Amino acid sequence: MDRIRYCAGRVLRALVTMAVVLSAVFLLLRLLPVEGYFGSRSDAMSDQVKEQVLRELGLLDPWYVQLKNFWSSLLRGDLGKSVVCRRGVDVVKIIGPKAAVSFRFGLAALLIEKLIGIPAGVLMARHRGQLFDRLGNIFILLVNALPAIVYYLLLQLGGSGLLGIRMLYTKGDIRSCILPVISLSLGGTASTAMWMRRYMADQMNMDYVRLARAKGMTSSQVSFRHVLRNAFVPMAQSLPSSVMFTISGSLYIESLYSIPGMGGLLITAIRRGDNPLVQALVLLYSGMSIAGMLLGDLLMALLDPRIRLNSE
Amino acid sequence: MGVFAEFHFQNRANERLSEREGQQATDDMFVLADGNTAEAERAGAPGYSYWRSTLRVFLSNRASAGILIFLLLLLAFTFLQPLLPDQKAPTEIFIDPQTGTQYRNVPPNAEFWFGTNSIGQDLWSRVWYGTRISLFIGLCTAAVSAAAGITLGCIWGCARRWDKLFTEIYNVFDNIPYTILRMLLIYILRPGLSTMIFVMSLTGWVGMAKYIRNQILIYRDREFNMASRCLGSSRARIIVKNLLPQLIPVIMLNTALAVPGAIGSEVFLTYIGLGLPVSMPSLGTLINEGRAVILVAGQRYQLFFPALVVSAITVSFYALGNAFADASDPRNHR
Amino acid sequence: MKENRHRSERGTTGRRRSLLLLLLVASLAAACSCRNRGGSTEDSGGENTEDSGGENTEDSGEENAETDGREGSTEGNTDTGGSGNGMFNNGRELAAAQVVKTVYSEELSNWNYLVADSATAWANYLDNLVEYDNYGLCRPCLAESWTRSEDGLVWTFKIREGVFWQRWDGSLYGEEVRAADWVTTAKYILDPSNAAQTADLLFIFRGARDYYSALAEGKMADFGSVGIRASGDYALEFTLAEPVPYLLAILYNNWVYPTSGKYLEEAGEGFGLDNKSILYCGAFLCRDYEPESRRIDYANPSYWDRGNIHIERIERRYNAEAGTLAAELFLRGEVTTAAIPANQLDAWMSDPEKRAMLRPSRSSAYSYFFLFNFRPNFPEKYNIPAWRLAVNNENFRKSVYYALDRRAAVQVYDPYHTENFILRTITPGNFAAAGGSDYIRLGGLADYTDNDQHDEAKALGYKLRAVEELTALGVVFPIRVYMPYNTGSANQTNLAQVVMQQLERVLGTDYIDIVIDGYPDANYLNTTRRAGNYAFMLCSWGPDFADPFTYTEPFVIGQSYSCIYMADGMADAVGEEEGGKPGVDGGFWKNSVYDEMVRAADVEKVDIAKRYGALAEAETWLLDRAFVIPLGTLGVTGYVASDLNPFESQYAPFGASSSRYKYQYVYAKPFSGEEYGRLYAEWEEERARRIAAAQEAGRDY
Repeated sequence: MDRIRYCAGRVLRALVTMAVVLSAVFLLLRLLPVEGYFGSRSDAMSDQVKEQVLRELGLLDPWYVQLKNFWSSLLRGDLGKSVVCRRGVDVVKIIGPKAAVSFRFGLAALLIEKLIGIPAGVLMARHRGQLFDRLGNIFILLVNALPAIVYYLLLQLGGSGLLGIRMLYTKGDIRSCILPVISLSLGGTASTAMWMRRYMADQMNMDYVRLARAKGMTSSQVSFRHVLRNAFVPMAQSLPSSVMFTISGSLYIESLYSIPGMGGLLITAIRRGDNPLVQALVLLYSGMSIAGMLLGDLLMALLDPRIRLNSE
Repeated sequence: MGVFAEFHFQNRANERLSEREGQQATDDMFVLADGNTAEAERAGAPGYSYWRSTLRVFLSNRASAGILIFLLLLLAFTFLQPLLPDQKAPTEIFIDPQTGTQYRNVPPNAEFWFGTNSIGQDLWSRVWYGTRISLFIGLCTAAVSAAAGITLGCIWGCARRWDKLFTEIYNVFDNIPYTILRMLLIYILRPGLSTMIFVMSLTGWVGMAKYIRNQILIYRDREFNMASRCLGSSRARIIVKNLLPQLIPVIMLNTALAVPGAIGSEVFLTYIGLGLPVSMPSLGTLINEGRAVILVAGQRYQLFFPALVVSAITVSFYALGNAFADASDPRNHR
Repeated sequence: MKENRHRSERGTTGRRRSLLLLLLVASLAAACSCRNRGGSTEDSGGENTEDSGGENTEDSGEENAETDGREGSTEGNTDTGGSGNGMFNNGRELAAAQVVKTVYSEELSNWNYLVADSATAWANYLDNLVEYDNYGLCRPCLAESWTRSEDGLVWTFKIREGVFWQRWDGSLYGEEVRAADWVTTAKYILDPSNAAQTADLLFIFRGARDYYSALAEGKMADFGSVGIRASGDYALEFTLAEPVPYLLAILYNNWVYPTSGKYLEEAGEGFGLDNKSILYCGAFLCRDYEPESRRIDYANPSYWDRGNIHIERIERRYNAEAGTLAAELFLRGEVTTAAIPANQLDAWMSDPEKRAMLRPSRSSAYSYFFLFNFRPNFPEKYNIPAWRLAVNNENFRKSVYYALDRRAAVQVYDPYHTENFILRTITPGNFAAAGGSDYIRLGGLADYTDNDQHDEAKALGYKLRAVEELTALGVVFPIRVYMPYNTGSANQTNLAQVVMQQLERVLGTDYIDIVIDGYPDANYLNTTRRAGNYAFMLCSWGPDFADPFTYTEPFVIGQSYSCIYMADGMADAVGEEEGGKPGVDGGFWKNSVYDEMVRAADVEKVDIAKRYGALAEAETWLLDRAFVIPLGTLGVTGYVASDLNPFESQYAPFGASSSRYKYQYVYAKPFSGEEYGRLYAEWEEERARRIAAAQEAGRDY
């Protein structure tokens, strides 16, 4: 019961936050110039036709009327249609398939990240200062030292040449997914390993570990029975967010491999002034970020009985 | 820059966990007894200076001392380079006097130490100029984020009345996708050095403030603070003397990581066409220019040098941040 | 103890699994074969980089992509029709698979050709009334023939019978393409509530403007009053408001695509959202489309002129990094055409094997020039009042004019054949000719075309005079010259730096201080040129029809180029009631010296030599006063590696013709620079011969 009340309260507050975020972005978008809507014919177009284009987009109304219209159609569940990027197409129909593509790639990468990153982090923490730890640290450093924009490209050119596979992603060709998934997971693997190692190390410094050791438990017993569990809790908190945000894709990787995902969509939409599309994306991303946090807290409460949720 | 992006996320996890651990103590539980600071001071442990200990622990690690020296040298060289003799201007296009055309794509030689780019500009001076600009952006962003984050975090953590308002502001900032905020602001404000620093700082403080606030909530009511309060310490004194030292490790790590983080953001913004103007070549510009010729074996030096500098800076700050975080943890001052 | 082991096992399973995965990845990768260009199988190389899904928008900086011609003579000596191994055309081996593969970096943003701002994207899907052959001569397409009334006002087109509307998959929709379908198109575009971007192009027809205005004001209007009507199932009649001698040349616009009225009504809001929501009547059908992924066209088996389609499939892959990757994709055989960007050129040129695959791009008719702004609206800190005085001083403009070194600037685009792209006139060469002479050598233009205009001594001479005159007016030197550039284009970014330093080096920083400032690609012209937000800037203009008159348009009253009519003494500012034309500043202008010259030239519609001579005189006038500093044809520059023959393509210097793949073949090997040069010479000669023949026969072409 408590939990339900807590959730309801959180959701309600989240809705208010989202309303503020959306309105703020809506108004910021109105500060941008309108000339983008006239396309390449801007010079040759007569004022009469220009005005008509703006009128049909509803951009000639005062801002408060526009805001009101936006909210009333949003409350009716209508996110609107793209006006520039893919004119006339429902934004949901644009985002849906793209999100699905990014999600598939992201999930595969996330799986690899966690499957490699967590064990690697645990091992590094257990063998602090030894060979494996050093190798792991070198890997983490390498991944972070080089700008991603450079090593993704190197990986694509080198990897596809070496393995003799296509450079671009081709639908239905599983081999063409290998390099993008590996690229996607590199950063995450490094960060998962790094944080896992850190959490483990933090826990190992705790008094209860010393007590357990004093009690006669072996170091590996302590590690797996107590430390890992405790160290895993903070990791779990971010899991729902990580899973959800896989749909936002990666600009660099999707650009390089021709993956029709979400990566560049937001940037293109802002660049070209496709307001309904930007608004829908803001709604999606802020909704996900709020929901991710809520789910993360719930998950953590499940894993760690010391955490009590209350609706403070 | 995956690790850095995730930093805030993971941090949040920590905070949330600890946030609910401590028992809440409220002001009305305390009545001030008579006493003065001088007397309270005498109760402190004698002969312990936080910063001196931090420095001692830090320098006792030879690797981190080495990195610190390297970074200082790099910084010094970056800023001294234009004063050295025979330096070229970073944006000047050099003309071959024999052919009257630009010195295009000249590989590194005695005249152009790092070679030239596709229109005949000297890469050696460009790399150092770019490093200067990028480090400046990074350091400014880190400093502004840290200062704003700490101040706001402290107020947020201590002023219960403002907690709700601050939380809402935080929620709004935290839930606008940063890309949108940055892009829109750059479009509205025009790309430039100050715009760049502004948009990066605008989102940089958020994570820090939240973290500080949570830590304050945790430590505020710990036994040693209650004790301190019982001894009559003022609130400001508790924050500065008791709470902040606990937070220094994470603040240091966060700040150190903000520098390479800002460089990464700068590379990204340049990639999407919102970088600095060409009159101000930055590492982001150089990386993006170099990246375009990655396919041409003979011109890869154009990518190699700027990438090398970015890597060196990133690794140093990363290692330094970690080492300093360890050293500044009072628990390690034994 | 037990649980413990269990845990540790899980830890290692995780590792084992990941190892397995890596192994799997590696073995899968090893299993597939390595395909490379040179390994003869699969695909042919190719030509024609994608035309970025859009039009020649000057906003998008330079287009490395080559949008150019391919062959097309039906009467050509075609040895073979189809495809297959060992097939030859004109003695050259064809690729085994007639498949064009390209990458493009800008997605088609609008499938509704009735609303879109350009007609390019549908060039392969919909046929027009007319089409161009590979020598740039007009010929019948969906209109079998046409007649023109004596006063030139009424044009009647006889529509081809037996062409049927098809769906994206090739199935018949059940309607024939009839004259009424062009009326449907016009009616839709002229309905203001559809916000069609090309509505004003139809205002050349009688009654169209009034019709549009009436509807926009919410009044009733009768389409019967508009000069576009079907006078029978197969007869289409256009009535113009005033004679348009180049009507045939503007028949590539959106309004010349037919639309099935029945389908339009049926689809309603759903019309033109993707490849499946338009009907086809062209040479290719878009059967596979996913935004930001691919667009694949198949030859239309029931096309009315099937015999002239040789390419079976056009595979366009979207890649946001096409500029960086295309060259490598070509070497690996993943595309048949790639533009080689300027910064990768040295590597291709120095490798003989690669060099043999490289040929120059066919230069476009997009003319680039520097303009001085007479309507300065740039940031105050760059001293607008001083600029106003400077820009109105002819000696100042001339000092800059003679100081500019075109070679140094254009080298940024192409360091190897720089001269091919340099222009000293606004109208490019080979665009129009009269009396056996190229337009750019008519009258005073010959002097500009044949003499290098870069003259530092002259520049310094004008500088001295300008300093004297401007100092007298109280101007403090240096004059700050605010010069925006497009950050979306690497070439334009480099060009800005080169020109800035080159001018400052010649003229001295005590005289001018050029401030370059980058603006992002999206909305670039809107934030800079159109807003008056510049002092000195690289601008461009592409032709709309094959008459040099088209190049006068940027400089007349009402255009947001440099507003020459606002220069001192060049026109009169008047009130609206005095019959002035609206300028971009909101005021009204009349008696522009330049406009009058152009108007006088345009009066002559029959004697081409006289008409072009007068237009050349007007252009010379602009150059004499250094209002414009021509630079080059930089719309398409650089080099292409491609398996298509550029001279087989349908060709016109304007419009969508060069995007059509009809008549073209894919060859087994790419064309080299030498072959290109030979083919170009042959093409030029043949084109001149055909034009002369058409002129002699009095045919419209």
